[in-house]
Amino acid sequence: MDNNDRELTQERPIPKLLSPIRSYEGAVRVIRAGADEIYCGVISEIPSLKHFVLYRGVWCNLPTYEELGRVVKYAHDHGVKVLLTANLPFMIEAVENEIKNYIRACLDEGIDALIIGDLGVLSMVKSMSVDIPLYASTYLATLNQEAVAFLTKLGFERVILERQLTIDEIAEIVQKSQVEIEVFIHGLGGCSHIDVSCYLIHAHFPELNRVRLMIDSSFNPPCKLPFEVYDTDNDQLRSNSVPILDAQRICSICDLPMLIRTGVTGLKIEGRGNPAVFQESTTKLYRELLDLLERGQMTAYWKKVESLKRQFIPMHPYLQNLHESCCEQKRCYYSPFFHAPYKLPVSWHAWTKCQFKTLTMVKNDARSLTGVQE
Amino acid sequence: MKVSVQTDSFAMLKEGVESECDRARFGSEFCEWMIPSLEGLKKAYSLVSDKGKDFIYVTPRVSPSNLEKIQDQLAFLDRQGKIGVVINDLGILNVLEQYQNLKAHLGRQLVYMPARCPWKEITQQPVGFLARRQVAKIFYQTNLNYIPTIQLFQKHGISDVDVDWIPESFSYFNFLAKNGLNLSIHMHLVPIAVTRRCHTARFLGEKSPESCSQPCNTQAFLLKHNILRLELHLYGNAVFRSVKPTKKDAKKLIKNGASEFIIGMNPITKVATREKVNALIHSIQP
Repeated sequence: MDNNDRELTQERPIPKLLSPIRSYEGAVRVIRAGADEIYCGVISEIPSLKHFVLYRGVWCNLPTYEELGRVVKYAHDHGVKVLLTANLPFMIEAVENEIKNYIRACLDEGIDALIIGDLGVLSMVKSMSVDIPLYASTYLATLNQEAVAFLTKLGFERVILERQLTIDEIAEIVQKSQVEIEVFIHGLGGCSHIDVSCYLIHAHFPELNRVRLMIDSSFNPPCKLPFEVYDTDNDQLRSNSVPILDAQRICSICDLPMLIRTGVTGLKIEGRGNPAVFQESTTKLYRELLDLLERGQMTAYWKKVESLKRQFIPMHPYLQNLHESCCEQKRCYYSPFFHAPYKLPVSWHAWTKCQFKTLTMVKNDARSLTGVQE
Repeated sequence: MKVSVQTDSFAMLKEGVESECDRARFGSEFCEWMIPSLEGLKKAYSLVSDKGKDFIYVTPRVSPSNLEKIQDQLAFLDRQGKIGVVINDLGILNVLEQYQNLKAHLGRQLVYMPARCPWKEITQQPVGFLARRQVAKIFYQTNLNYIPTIQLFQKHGISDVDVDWIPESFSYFNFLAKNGLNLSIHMHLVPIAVTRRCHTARFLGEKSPESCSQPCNTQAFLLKHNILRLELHLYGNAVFRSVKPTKKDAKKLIKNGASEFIIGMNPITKVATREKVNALIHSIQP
């Protein structure tokens, strides 16, 4: 297996590593950690969408255009591209002018590409006659080569595939496509559903928040919550408390050689809304593994992967006890479809410890947001 | 106003075509592993056309392997004459351009409607009257409430669109109809989440999609969350919330340009016989 992997990873270039950011500090951290490209939004600048919390809240974005400008400058100084997520899942006339102004303002700050999630937004951007690469967001739910061909005809230069494809399917799509293909590799939750077809909100509004706090004092999206399950036929209770909608995937550290073999151009870490500490530590982790693969050090790569699985990783609050939270439950991004779910993510002790540590780091994150030294 | 029945089960289709419906839609809307075989499709097509009713083929989102299967089916349908195909995948829309006789209907998965979300509270946040009104205005529209989007789809042969029975959105449907789209309204179930990692299959211990025994042919589940006061329906790989169609709503829809009502025949709606279909048709006729 080692030899195979070595040959095949040498055949293909190492894909770019893309990291999310939501602050200047986060950008500095992920760039230092080894991101090749970063992606972000500044959508809090759009008044009409400020309180529209269906998908992502304002905290997932950079707070101002000025901060975007600082991020772009820092990134370009370090040879890193900045992609703007203009990936609203829909466009209507009521927000058209504001979105246009938003895109123009971001272009003025020097962004390198636009990630677009709706064909209406695409039409609007084209009507603005801007000269910038357009990337198709995962909101366009691309699952096959014909969809890639369709999007290519419309002018997209890169397509981000839907999260729920298998590695073989990705390989087939890459082989039959004329544009760059990007895939997700890691997330805190990894969506249970096809992105654009999910209307279970991630963001919080006061009513839902209050209820959630009553349930488990965490901010889990609704797909992670336990449900009572009844047979529709006879109304009989089948199960009392099962997180039946929880099909989330977390990690793909073991699958990197296979993903490289597919020929994808970009490997993307999800989580614009996550704290900078997550964005940084995940980037660092994947950078280290990709570098080992680039140098053909397969033994060192597998050794590192094995140690990551077994160890309690203090530098990474979200990956602690990886074996229990991910490997055992087959929550790998690219594992077979029907994994064994319905367990608590980690043992109670590890979970509490992890939560405490995360909370502390998030607080430190928040404190450091105001004054970052370059 | 036309009424269609929609199902992915041949047995239910047999019942459905015997009802007073005008059209029959057959095929899997959400699960690519439930796509019928070419033989199954041929059987369904002749069953419906023998009854003198319009046949519409429903397709889901597909991965590369199932795309080939769909391509064979489209070639067959194209040879039969003018037939509607509901598409939920941009790849299938691309493939469809090769076929002169097939008419593309935009499926629900390509129509984004924020109001499918089960929490209306989004529109009632304590943020001031104007902001609240703006949120509601966005919440109840669709991605087609924008002329360039409609034009783009029309350029690719779309003239029919599937949307959901969400009363607060009805007034916005008028815009779609005025801009040349024929509106088909699904009557009972609003899809709120779709996955390829099928929740039903995992819950029932299925091992892989290829060997799935397709329990969703006969089984669906009601999911309750008491604290959230939430009731969802799990049917195969899709999660729905249910709506109750009324005569008043039907009237409003017709006024706003709806041209077709769709009755879903499946284990959640429990509409499985011609009598039940007929009763429903009569109950909504203004």
